[in-house]
Amino acid sequence: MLRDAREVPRASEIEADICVVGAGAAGITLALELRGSGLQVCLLESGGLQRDPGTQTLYQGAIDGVPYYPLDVARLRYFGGTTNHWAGLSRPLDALDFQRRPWIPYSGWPISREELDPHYERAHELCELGAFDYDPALLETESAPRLPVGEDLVVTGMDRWSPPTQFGLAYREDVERASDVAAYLNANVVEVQTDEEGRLVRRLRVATLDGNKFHVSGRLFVLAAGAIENARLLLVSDGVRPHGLGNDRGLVGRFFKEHPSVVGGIFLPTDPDVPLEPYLTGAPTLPDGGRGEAFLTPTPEILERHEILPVKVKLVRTSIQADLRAQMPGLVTAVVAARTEGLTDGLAQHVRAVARHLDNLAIYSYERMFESHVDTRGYHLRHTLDQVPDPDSRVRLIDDRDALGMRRVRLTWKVGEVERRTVREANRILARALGRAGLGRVRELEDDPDTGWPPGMRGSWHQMGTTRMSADPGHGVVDRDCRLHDVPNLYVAGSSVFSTAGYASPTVNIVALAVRLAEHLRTRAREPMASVRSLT
Amino acid sequence: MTRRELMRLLVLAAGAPLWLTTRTVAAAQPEGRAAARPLAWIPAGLGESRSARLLGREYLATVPREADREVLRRLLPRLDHREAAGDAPGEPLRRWVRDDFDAGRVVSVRGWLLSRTEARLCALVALGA
Repeated sequence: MLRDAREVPRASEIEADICVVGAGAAGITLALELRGSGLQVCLLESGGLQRDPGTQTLYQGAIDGVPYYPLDVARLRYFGGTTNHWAGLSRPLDALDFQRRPWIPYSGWPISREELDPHYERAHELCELGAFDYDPALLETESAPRLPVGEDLVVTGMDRWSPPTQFGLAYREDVERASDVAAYLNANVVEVQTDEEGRLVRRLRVATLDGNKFHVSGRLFVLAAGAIENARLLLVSDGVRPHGLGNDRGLVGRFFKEHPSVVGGIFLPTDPDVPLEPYLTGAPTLPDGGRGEAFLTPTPEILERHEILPVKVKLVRTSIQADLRAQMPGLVTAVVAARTEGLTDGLAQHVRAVARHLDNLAIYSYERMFESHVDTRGYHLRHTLDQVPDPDSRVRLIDDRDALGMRRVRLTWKVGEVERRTVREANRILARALGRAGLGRVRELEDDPDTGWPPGMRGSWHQMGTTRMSADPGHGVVDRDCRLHDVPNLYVAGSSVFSTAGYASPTVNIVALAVRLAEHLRTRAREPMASVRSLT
Repeated sequence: MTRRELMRLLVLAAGAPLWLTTRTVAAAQPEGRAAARPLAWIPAGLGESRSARLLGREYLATVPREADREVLRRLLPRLDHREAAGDAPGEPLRRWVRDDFDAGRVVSVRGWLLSRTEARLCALVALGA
């Protein structure tokens, strides 16, 4: 059922078994997966069915640290949430992403990839991704195999593309038809209210922009409002616990992370006709009807040896210089030959051979000399990587308030030296693999002196980590079941629970985690309240 | 095929008229012009017809102890290695380069990540020019 919160009787209290805050990928998945369970689900969405500027301004906030997108642009606050503008790139987290690595502080999850595996197939259905199969051989054709770079330095990996599925559009009818799901639009949760000890959530305080107010009570509660808003809701809910809910150790909002993305280098193939179709956007359709594309990534052993972060490198066709190889092969060879008269016979031959390998560089001279701008084949190397969890990269409350009186947030995004070193090392590792195979040469891009990064380093619109999952309450906010360490009937869904984030785009992982959480909630919601109160 | 014949063929294959044009234009350019018109991420030095020489200069600037032809000769793989029977021309060089990349002997010259052998041969070009 879809309802409008503006029409709920003022000061009333709606009851449900499970209350979910936020109707994005995680919230809608929870609602769908809890259908037919015999439990009453209340799904609360701040926005309506379409984007509304007034509602969107509730997301405004301050930014410092590494430049980031305006907070009311980076996220969408209406039914379907940020899936209303996602691109669709998808991939499960790797097993390594869940593991503790000594060179990455705070790394590792309290669950393994194997524990998520049973839920990825359903997540693939919901995200319309085709089969849960990421073997890059699916992308190969006889005329365009994967690059022969060996397997000791880098390997070929694969992403899939969702159409992209906009969850609000795709699943609105399912939610409307579900008699055990009550979805309220225009319903802004402004506080999570607890018992007198601040240990058990009793109800949610809800307000609408036109002034209506009511409460929603239940047995179990899930925050599924996105990484920044989940932290904000916990921090503003300080009626009993002075630092906010679940924040006795000051960890809520910390460890904010993104997937830094930057064109870190250029690949100039020796053979401009080398078939790279599997690696390019628009790769051939997969045998299962899905769409995918390949990338290169250092092996886990190389990551460990170099003590760097998981990173994928995507080839992006670009216009680098005039494609004149065919017209003037050996240009540099000729130049060098003329300049090496004084060298001994054998050496001159070798120098010329090297110069021939550098012929492709000579095409730059053409562009420079003749000021030509003829397009040709070269490839940007776009790196997308994980981050070291950093407690100082964070979301915190500021005094400024939104139209509902709720304190806004300041985002401080930090990107450290390990991230920068990862891009450098990845370039070098790629250069080795591609050079060894005789495929071409890599050039790393110069840093912008103001940022210490090549120009254009940015986030991938993936906010993560602010209520991270941990076994130790001293290192995170939620436990292995996505339940707050200190509040046994309050859960968090979404990428805010990501402890480390690999390089995989989050959506399908968010959905898999939500499918898993729904399974847990089905059992948990039937337990006696005394058991629910227990933290064990 | 003699070395002289091979060289002649290489020059012929290089499209000499265009090379001459480029060289003439290059000679007419003030040295500082390239630096004055950086093309964003396009490598300035490598964009000139003097690619190898500039690469060599850059390399030597970072490794000045190698700025000596005799030193470079000693550091490079032995040049009296003749190609084995059946080897394609330049095969020993390709092997050295491949071995460099395999072993991680990679140097960054103007951002280009080259095998150390390539960089040292370019350095010889710079010293010989």
